[in-house]
Amino acid sequence: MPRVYSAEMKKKKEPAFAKATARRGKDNRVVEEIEKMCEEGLDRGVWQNLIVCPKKTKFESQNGKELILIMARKHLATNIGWILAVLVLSFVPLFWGEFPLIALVSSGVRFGIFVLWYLGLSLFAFQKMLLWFYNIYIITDERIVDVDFFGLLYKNINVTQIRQVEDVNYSQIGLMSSIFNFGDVVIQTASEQMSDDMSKEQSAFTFQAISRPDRVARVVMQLMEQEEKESYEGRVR
Amino acid sequence: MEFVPGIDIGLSEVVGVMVKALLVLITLLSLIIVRQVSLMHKVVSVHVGGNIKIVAFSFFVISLVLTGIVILG
Repeated sequence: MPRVYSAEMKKKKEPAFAKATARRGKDNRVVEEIEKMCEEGLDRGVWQNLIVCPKKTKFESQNGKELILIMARKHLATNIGWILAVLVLSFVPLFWGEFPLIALVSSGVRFGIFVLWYLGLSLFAFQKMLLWFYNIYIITDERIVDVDFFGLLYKNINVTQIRQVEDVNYSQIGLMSSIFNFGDVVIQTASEQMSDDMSKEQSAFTFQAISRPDRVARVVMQLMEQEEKESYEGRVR
Repeated sequence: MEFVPGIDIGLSEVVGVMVKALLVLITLLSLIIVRQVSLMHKVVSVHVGGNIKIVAFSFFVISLVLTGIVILG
């Protein structure tokens, strides 16, 4: 006889971040906030600007039980400039006949210039994509990590404990940031860390042009409150 | 144009040498990018990192082949 009703209930699988942060106590607004973001679909994909609890992702100095809560990059909209430039420049060879200098060289050299043009454009686009993809901001349940790559041979990694964070601010300036909902999150630490990449940043931990800066700032503030609560309760690791 | 008696250096030759030198430079840069992608992947390991390494290496191979064709052609 076909089964019409079954009282067996599938146990709801507890998310990994809930298990990992359970040691923080029952009142865990961070877990609620992260759960909410997961329900909005922010836990899927690799190429997104903001990923909550990214799967199969690790960073260099990550501790064994440390859990990545948020991984953010600059919003895709910040790449519009170079993408448009590449698209426009890729059509330039169609008009090379208009340049008298190009017409003077032999066909072999013209082919070389053609190859050079497209290889150069591809190299530029690939490098820009790499720098966008790997310049990330990570918030774990213990630390905040800012990974910056400048060019091909220069990297800068800033790390701070959540308990050293003193202040969190966020801002959205301009039309693009309002349309695409991205902005800067500035995290001030007790040590006032300085780094080489601070020419335009207000702090060593400035998450530039990230998606949903208000949500990210809220998560950081809740983590700060959680750390403060733990230090009062004597549960600091 | 005759800088050395008996040898004619035209615009094509000069531009050709510059183009070949730039192509070699681009090939070297693509090799540096292959190395840089490995280092980036070591710092932040994502599961598409392997695919990005393959793309970077393919780009290096393509630029090497095209540079070879232009230089030897």
